Amino acid sequence: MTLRLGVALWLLVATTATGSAQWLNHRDPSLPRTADDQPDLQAPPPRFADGRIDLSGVWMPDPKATPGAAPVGQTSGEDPVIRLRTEDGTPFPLLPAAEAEYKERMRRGDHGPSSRCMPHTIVDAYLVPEPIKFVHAARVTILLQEEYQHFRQIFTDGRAFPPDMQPAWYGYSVGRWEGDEFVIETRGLNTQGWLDLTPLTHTESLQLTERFRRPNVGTLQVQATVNDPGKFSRVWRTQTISFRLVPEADLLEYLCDNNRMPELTAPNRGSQARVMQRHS
Amino acid sequence: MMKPSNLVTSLFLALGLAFTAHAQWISVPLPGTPRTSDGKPNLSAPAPRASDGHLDLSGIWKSRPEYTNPKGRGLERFMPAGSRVPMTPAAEKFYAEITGNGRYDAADPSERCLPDGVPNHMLPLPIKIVQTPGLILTLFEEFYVFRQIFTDGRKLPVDPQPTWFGYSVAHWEKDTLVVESSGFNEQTYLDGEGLPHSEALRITERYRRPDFGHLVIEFTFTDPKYYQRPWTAIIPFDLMPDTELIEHFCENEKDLGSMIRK
Repeated sequence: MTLRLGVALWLLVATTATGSAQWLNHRDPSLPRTADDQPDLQAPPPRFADGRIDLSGVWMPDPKATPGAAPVGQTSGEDPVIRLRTEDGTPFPLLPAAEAEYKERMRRGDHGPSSRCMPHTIVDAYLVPEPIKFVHAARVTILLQEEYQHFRQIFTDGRAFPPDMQPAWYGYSVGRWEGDEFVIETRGLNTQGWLDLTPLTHTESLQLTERFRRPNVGTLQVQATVNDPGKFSRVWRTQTISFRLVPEADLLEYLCDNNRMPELTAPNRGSQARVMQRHS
Repeated sequence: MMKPSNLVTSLFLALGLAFTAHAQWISVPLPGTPRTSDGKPNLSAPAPRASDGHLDLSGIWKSRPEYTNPKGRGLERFMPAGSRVPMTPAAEKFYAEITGNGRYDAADPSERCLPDGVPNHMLPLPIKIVQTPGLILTLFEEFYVFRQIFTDGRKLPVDPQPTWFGYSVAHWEKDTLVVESSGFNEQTYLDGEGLPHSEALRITERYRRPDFGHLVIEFTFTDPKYYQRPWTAIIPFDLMPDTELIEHFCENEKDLGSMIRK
């Protein structure tokens, strides 16, 4: 769904009138400010009392600051999506069978899970212009996704992975702080999710490591390490994906109704339009 | 998976979940849980407190079908004995139609993988409350969606775009969390029987945690279009200790042909 410009334009045209009555302009007293009272996005990142970096906030993937933004024409609404790349720009190290499958899926034009209201998972959720929100609680960090109102839990209470994981869309994630990074390890993913917006699939053996950094108040970055011997000839790292803080705003409700029941999709259309407003 | 709408579905879900349950974080001893001398969670221990001194409502909770008004229907069962939901004629008409001619299953949003709103999406599958300073999250096992309840002092939006979960702000009155919500769309019902509401609906929830293992939520509904006066249902919840939510996404593509609204 996210790659269909026609649909996106239709949504935009249909619904631009609904943007003003949300929590899109809520003053956040925790943000440092410049002399003219604007959020100081260049200030050092916030930290907890014990020095750990604090990722809290609403974050929008930032194609301008990420290598690999898609060429003009491949957009969701007004914003370019990000194409997943390897760290050094070389092709994905696909095994021969995986490469054949990838090419065939590309040729067929397979649509990703989100086209049938299933989630963008890891890493593809960071490639679309849909905000995420980090919420740190004691012993668990929650990653809220505006898209379809879904969430991920990242446990920071020191637990180990379950011994025999029922494969799941988001898998099973544990997190830890390492220096200035928040590191998430994920296992137990099912084979439904895609790594990229193109049909870069994986096996249940996939092991993902995400390393999040917050170099300043206004910037979040993540680099993922992909380890799936069933699909790739070696462990590889993604490019560093950047997000920009969406200060003093919040997520909008965005549920998915398979785009087939027009009488029910008005709230969704409104949300999408407001997302687009917020981008500008 | 659909919300259970009949016994067969319920049994199927129960069996299915039971079959896969051992492979999740279904049994995980959670730090911070008070325990009896034999190591079991002490559910009658005092309720925990957050670092700011307020009660901490965090935990995984499941509503308990303990009815104060067992002869009622749906939410009515959680009202004082002998009472009725004070429906207006418009609500009576809607309620009779939706339950009288078999339309309800087709109209129930969860049958199309959409949320049941407040409070219906909190019943009866597990919810997880995550309390942080300034923000309380409700994570729903059903369809793996979330609701945000702001405790940072902000006010409700004046003219909100109607949404499935509405807009929620809360404050503490001693040991009671008082949640005020508005801005709901008209797609959901208040309960599994089809109690209607309009966009004018306002809900006040009062959360109390009398001890470690128990939560009580008092829901007061105000909606002059469908109800003659505000009315209240009190629903008890039990803690599910030492466990975790199970990922439960809903995919309705395959069943779409049989899901016709109106």
